[in-house]
Amino acid sequence: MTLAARQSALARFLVDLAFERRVRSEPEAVAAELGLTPDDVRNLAAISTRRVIAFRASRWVKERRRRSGNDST
Amino acid sequence: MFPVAVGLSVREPWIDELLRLPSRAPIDVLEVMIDDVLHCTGAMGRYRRLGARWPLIAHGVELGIGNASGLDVRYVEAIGEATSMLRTRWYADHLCFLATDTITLGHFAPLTDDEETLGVLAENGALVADRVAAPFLLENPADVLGWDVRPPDPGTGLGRSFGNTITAAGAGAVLDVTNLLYNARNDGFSATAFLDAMAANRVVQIHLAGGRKIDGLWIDSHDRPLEAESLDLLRHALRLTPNLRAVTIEWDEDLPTLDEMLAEVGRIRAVLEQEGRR
Repeated sequence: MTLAARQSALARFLVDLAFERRVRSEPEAVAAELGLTPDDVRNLAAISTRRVIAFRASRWVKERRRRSGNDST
Repeated sequence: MFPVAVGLSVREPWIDELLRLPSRAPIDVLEVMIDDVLHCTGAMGRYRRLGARWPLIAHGVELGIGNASGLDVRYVEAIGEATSMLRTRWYADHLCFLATDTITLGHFAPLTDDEETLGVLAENGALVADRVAAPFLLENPADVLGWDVRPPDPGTGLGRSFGNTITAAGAGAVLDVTNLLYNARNDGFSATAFLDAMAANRVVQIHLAGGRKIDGLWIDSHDRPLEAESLDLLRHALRLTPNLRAVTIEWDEDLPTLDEMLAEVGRIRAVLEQEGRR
C-alpha cells in the first residue's frame, strides 16, 4: 500500500465523520474498498474518538488563527 | 558551544511597541511567522524594520514536508524569496503532512519513519534546499492522535523516528519542548528518553509555550505562561544540544502585553544563564 493511499485514508478519517464511523464499524470492508491493509485500517480505528475530536478542535482553532493572522503551532 | 540567543515569536499587536523599544535588549532574536509575510499586504515592510534591529528567524505552518502528493512549488519559491528579503538566519516548518490530492487538512498530521516516508521527505527536502537559501529546520509537532506510539519504550522509539525523519529531509531541528512534554503526558512516555534518542546535535532552535489540559488531553494552546516543567525539560535539552542557537517563546491566544512577554523571555534567559549557555 502506498504512502499516498495511507495519508488519504488518515486525512479522510480526520475530517469525514461518516468515514470515521465506517472505519470503526466495518474495517475489513473499508480496507478492501480502498486497497489498504488490515493493519492500516486497524491503526486508524485504534485512534480514540476523544483524540479525533481533539484534532478537529485544534484544526478549527488553527483555521481561526490563520484568518486572524496568528498561528505558530 | 555557541552562546544561545533568546527571543519571541512576533505577533502583529506587538510590532509598533517593539520598534519603539529604546534598545534591542532584552531580546536577542525575533521569530517571524513567514506565512503572515506572504499573506498580509504591507507585512514585509514592517518585518524589514524589525530586521534592521534584530536578527530574524522564519517560521512557517503551511509547507507539509511529508506530503506524499508533493509540495506546492510556488509556495516554496515564495518562501525562498521572503526569507531572502528578510535575511532570516534559517527557515523552519513542521514535520507533518498537511494535504493529499483531495483533502487539505490545514493542520499537522503525523508521519512515521518507514522507508517510503523517508523517501518522500528526502525528495521534498531537496526541493526546499534548492529553492530556499536559508538553512532548513523541522519542528516536532504536537500530536493529539498519539500516532506511532509503540511499546515497550515509546519515548525512545519516537525520538529515533524524529531523528530519522529530519535526517532524511536534510534538515536541522526545532525542538518544541512544550509539544514534547504534552505528547509525553498524553501518551505516557518519557520525554527525556525522546531527547536522549533523537539526533540532538541537529537542534538549532528550541520553542517553548504554555498550554492547558482540555477534556483529558494536554493541548499546546499557546495561551498560558510557561510551566515550570517545560523549563525543567529545557534544562535537560540544553545539556544535549551543542549546536543550539536560539530559544524562543510562542503565544497565540489571549495575547499578553509585550512587557508580560518580556518577563517570560526573562525566565528563559535565567535558565540559559544557569546552564552556562549565555
